Amino acid sequence: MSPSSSNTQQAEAAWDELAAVVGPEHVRPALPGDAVDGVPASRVIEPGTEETLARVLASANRAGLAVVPRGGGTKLDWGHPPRRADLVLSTTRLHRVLEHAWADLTATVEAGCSVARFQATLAEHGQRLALDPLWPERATIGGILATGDDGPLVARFGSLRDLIIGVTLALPDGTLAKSGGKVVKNVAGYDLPKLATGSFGTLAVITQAVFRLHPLPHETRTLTFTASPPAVEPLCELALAVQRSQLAFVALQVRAAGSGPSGLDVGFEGTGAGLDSQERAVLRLAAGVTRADPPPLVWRAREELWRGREPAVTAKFSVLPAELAEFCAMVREVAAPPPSLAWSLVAQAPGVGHLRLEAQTGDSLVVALARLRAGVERRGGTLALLRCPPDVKARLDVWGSPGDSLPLMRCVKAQLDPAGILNPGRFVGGI
Amino acid sequence: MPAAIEMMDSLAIQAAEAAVHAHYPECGGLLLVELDGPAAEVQALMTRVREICASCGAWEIRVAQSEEERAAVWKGRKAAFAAMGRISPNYIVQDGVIPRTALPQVMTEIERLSAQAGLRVANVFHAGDGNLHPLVLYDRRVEGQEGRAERLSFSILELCVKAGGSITGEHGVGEEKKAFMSVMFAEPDLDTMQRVRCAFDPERLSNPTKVFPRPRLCAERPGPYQPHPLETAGVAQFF
Repeated sequence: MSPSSSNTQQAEAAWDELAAVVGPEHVRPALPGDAVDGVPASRVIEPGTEETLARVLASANRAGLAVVPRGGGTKLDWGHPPRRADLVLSTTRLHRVLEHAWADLTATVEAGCSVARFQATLAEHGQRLALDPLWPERATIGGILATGDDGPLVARFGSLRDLIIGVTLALPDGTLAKSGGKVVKNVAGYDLPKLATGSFGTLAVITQAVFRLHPLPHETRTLTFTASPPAVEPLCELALAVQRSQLAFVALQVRAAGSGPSGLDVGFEGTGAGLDSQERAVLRLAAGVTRADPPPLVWRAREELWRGREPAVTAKFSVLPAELAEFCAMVREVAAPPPSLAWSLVAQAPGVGHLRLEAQTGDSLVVALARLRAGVERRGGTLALLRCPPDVKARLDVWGSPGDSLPLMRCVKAQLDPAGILNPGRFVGGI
Repeated sequence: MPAAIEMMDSLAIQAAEAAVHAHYPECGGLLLVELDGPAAEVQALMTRVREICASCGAWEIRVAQSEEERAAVWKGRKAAFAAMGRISPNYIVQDGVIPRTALPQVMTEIERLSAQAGLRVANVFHAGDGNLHPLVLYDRRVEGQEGRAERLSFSILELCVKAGGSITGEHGVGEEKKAFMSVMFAEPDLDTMQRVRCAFDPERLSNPTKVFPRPRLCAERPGPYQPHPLETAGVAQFF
């Protein structure tokens, strides 16, 4: 028997084993649409319980199959393309809200539940998960956790890592491990919920999460101010003044673009009386800046950065709040050389934002991004490319400098996924 | 969401009064609720807090009328631990967490355990997040009392876990609580945490005996714990 036919037989045996674990009706050949950032997959598997999911992982691990966990599939093209994608492990069937302990302001939810459905369940008791990630109708809890996508409300309620209080992880060897708990204050053991958040499915598959919740607001109010380009500086100054004040805003964002007006949005929640007094205080700070009506869906403005002309890159940046105007100036500068690049950005307090750059060619994107990243990293910030044409990804590390923690990250990866089957290559430093 | 909700029971009130004269009422327990934010917002929400307290049967509702009065109320709360010296020669303070809805049931159970052990337990804690700090009062000079106090404080921890909570809310797991990690977590949970530990500290140099009930050798193959053949055969046991 030739080695290749022996390999084929082994692979077939592995698929048969997986079908037996999950049930043949929940395994299907992958379609072109299941490719992960251009890398074709072999099979899509949809386990119905976390125990089955863990067994699928264990089988894949034994067979050396590369596994790409997938929730709503909204962010599958973030990060490096995987080195291989034998098996897309879908959490579609793990979609239940397991417990809404509304009197305790906590909830337990399966990873495949969409953010919007989770929020709708919580709203039945006047509560919410106080964050506003991208594409909530399709994005799943597991997906936002793995990619660390939260949104403008971080200014008031903290990031995903502050809101998650418990997690269940399925490890490649089939271990199902819990960490954290169902209480809002807890320091027993290591905080694996925080470790899993933002790890891009490279350490384990998140099967369940427990969150602290907040009440839905009595009322909300958004104040919007505008400026004509290139005058984003007055808006950045006002944004800083609001952040330095005692105003209790819940969200704040600067919208800027190479062409078209810029905007500053400040969001408040509370009672009518409180909102009135805060609005007066903001207006006192905003003397000399033009007030405007907030555009529709203003707090979903960053979703616009995924739409437009190609080739384009959508990147995530972090800068110090006081250096936002400088960052905008750097973007303007790298986008200027003819042929000029179109750009737009949404920067949210306290200093994280998204940027879209459109160019005529991938080459000019690479040049502009490399210059911008060098400038940002020199100031201690970061620039990670999220959605990006393959030829740009091939020439530019999407993650940027990993700093000095890469060896440690590799050690963590080696402990939890020693065979390297989970999302191989997608994360920082090729993890 | 209030900025703070703190609870003190009658023993804690007595001790704090004796120490700092915060002018607390003589009562079975009191709740301190603090709101923060813009003045107009706080005023509107404080009305709501008063309504809720009244509907729950509060005997008396006081709103601090000055910064001095507010400071005195908080001074009493913050001094409560140290003030235990006024009513007991020794005490053990615990740190456990329960879901907020379990408070009435757990407080009743602590009272029962306290009576059973013949030792007083004062309660002063963060009610807003369910983080309990029961203070077990005892006298070290009385033979056997320290051991009983310790056992009582451990029973309270087990009570917290049984109620769906945690063995520590803010002070962590060192030597004393490491045995309780097995009460709260299953073996695969602990094993996964151990693997993370091995990534950071493969030589086991940092506090090697803390946090985990059973230390793991990082040179072991990563993955779930594999018993030694002698263990499987029942010849040897891992302590």
